[in-house]
Amino acid sequence: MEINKDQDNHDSPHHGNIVLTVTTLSGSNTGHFLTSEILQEIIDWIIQKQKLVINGPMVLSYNDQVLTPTNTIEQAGVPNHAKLTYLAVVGGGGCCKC
Amino acid sequence: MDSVISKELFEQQVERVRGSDLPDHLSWVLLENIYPRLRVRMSHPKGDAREFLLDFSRFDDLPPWIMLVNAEGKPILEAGRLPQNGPHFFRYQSPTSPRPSLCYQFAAEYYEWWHLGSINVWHALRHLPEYEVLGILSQIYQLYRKTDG
Repeated sequence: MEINKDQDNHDSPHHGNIVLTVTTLSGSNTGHFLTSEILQEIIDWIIQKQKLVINGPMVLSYNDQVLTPTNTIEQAGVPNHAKLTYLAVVGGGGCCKC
Repeated sequence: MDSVISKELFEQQVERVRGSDLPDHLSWVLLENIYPRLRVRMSHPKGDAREFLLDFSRFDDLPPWIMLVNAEGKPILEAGRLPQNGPHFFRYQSPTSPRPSLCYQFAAEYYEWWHLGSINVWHALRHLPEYEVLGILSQIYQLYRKTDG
């Protein structure tokens, strides 16, 4: 429950120094983060916020660049008011014929 | 699939596309969205753009037929005019194929041309968000951005 409380804090402007929007197939949410937080925190937040069911590998991206979850927001160079996407990796394609 | 039900499903899912922020974020433009056709222009990170025509006439017994089309909405047939370097992205299944296609489980061609007899795979996938209209567009875009444009 402690984790949920922390993730709910991202709804509060008092929590962070940066505002980020994450869009998935289920919709968009905007939250407040510290630039010192790792990107995995954003992933955990959006999964909880949108009650996402994860069926396979997913990627967090900004400006068409895939982000590494263990990097901090600052290390990843994600600016204030950035719009991120969190989408499934394309799978199930290709075969010996193609 | 009854065409009335198919149309209703298409329209519900296209409405979700229109309500999503993804088209804006990823620079997609819906050019046509009257059942059973959905034509979308997607911009490539390198600055190019391509148009994709999806035919949902057998949705969702079958996923959409997906074509890479020119500005007149006609399928691009010349191999030299297709995006290169994409994994399984618009290739000819055989020398006699009518046009290039995608070998992916979100495309009708996968079941009708590439992997006959595997439609049960689609029936197991079609309820997942990644295989609804918005999810299919997202998958096409992710593949397209891996090409040279």
